[in-house]
Amino acid sequence: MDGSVSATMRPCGDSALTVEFENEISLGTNMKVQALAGRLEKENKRGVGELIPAYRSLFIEYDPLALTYGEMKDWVGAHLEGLDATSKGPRAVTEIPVLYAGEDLEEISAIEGKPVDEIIRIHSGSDYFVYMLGFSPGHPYTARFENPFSFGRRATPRVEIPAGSVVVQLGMSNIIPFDQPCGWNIIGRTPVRVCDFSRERPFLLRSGQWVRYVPVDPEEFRRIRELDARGGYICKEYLLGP
Amino acid sequence: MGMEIVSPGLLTTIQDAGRKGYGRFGVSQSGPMDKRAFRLANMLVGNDRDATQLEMTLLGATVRFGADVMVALTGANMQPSLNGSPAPMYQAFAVRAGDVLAMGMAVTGCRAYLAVSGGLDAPLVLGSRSTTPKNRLGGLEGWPLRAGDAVGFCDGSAAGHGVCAATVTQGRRIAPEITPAGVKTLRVVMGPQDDAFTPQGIHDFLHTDFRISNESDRMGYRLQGARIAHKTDGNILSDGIAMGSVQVPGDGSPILMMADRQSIGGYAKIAVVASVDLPVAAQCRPGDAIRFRAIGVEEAQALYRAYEAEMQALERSLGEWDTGKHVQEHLLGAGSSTAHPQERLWEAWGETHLQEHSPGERDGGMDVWDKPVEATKRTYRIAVNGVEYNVEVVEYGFD
Repeated sequence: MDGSVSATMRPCGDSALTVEFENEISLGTNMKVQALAGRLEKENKRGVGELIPAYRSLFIEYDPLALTYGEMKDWVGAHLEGLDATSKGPRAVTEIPVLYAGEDLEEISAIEGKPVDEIIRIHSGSDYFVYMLGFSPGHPYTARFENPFSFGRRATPRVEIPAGSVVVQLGMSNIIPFDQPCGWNIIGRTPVRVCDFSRERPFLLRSGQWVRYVPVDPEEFRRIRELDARGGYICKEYLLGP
Repeated sequence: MGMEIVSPGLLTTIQDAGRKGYGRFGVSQSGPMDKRAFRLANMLVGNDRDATQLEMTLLGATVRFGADVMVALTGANMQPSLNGSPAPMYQAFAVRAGDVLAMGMAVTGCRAYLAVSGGLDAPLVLGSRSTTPKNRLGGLEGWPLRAGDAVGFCDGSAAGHGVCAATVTQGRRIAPEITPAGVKTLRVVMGPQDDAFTPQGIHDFLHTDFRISNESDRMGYRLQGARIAHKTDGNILSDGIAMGSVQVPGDGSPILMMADRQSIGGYAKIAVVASVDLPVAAQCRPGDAIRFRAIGVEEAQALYRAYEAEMQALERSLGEWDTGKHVQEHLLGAGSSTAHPQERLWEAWGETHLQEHSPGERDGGMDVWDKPVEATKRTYRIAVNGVEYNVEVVEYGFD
């Protein structure tokens, strides 16, 4: 890779800027976001505040007493030079157990014209990439490359769905950390908490990693939930070679 | 010991500087809405800049103190009273265990801050005590304060112990901020997605007035006024949101994003309010009219640097006021006849008054409530205008 990765920098007021890559949800683009975030973080530069990676952009807070917008642009620009955003390294994967018994599983099966077993096989059959966390603490936005399902959001959002719900539309799938309103279809429920502030590591997932949804039966679901409630369950995490 | 919330008012939350560094995990920063008033309150009582305070909204709280502390109120004037008598704003004053500080309706502004010397205590969650109710995070188990809640004080000396801290702030006073009447102008830096709007949309945004709607809280203010026209539908691929961002959903009605905003969002942001004008926005209440004026990012940053310089100068002058004014007035002022003040011992009586260490010469303005039962002495050397003074600070215990 040579030269600079093309990106647009825009001010977000006087104390932040955003670096935008291609306007698309794609692994390649998000890898650039992750790679830039990693590079900038390593510098630990005085005056630079928090970084928030999103689908196609990196939001960077800074202290205008320490750095001007111009200085920030120069600094970020220098780190876009020769940015290596190819996914050569291994994938970090976390397994998320799912009891596939969501409120909308039958409906999904009907819409897709496939038996429930097939829907479960499809959803758990391919890894999902964590593009970003947002909406609420620990809430991952995960997606895969193809759209295995044809349905989008529900016509009428639900006022509240319970924490632990695993929701889907098209190629995307989210895990709901806290009870919240939601317009997506619920395919199942995970017994693990993706966010728990009382844990030493409150957030189970981070952007730039992968998630594999693994079917469990009701008995296993109960077992894991009880363990997890006591802080005694550790999701399987591993690196998959390139 | 700390204080008891007798009545919480409309919305009273525990806030420090906010929860930094967890936006990437979807955690809202929170923190004070009016960072200027917050900083001034801490300054007045001699706290660190980020020490934890109460933020009150429109209708303030009533609190009963369980210990002696210095306090200061800034921001909206909620007609404070201490044990039924008017209490000052923008001034450090001492309260005693058992005192009741009551706030009423805000007559100006929207949000008031109550700082106590040493700061309020609450469990640290992800490095902050700030309350984010929508995530049940921070404060007291994530909730706004309720009647009967007990809020502790940080660094609280033992219950009933006297209050002389090393920082002597009694009577620190600064000019209240003037809340301008009429339409308030908020300067903005355009973008990051101003190119998502039509020229007419940009024109309407910058040249018409907006009203803060009733759907306004610490998360954001929905604004009523012109519908801002997008080129397309106003949806973007979600990205990070700075405090003061004006995002415009598909219906064209702007939302000004404030302290409890979510970390990322999917609506185009036409502009972001300059940091120096965020306190003005924070003191807006439903029904208030605002208008936006565009400035460059460089100008916004220059304004911010000037603001910081002003704050630091104020901080210095307050510190000098403590030492200089106290020492000068008490050492060199009327009735004090010594020719060599730097050799004299002085003590801090009761709260924080520095006083010549000789019986029967008390400052007429001071108030000693209880008989001291215990005293520890600490000696400080203070330089005022190049002259060094020995100051003996006496800490009293009260029963």
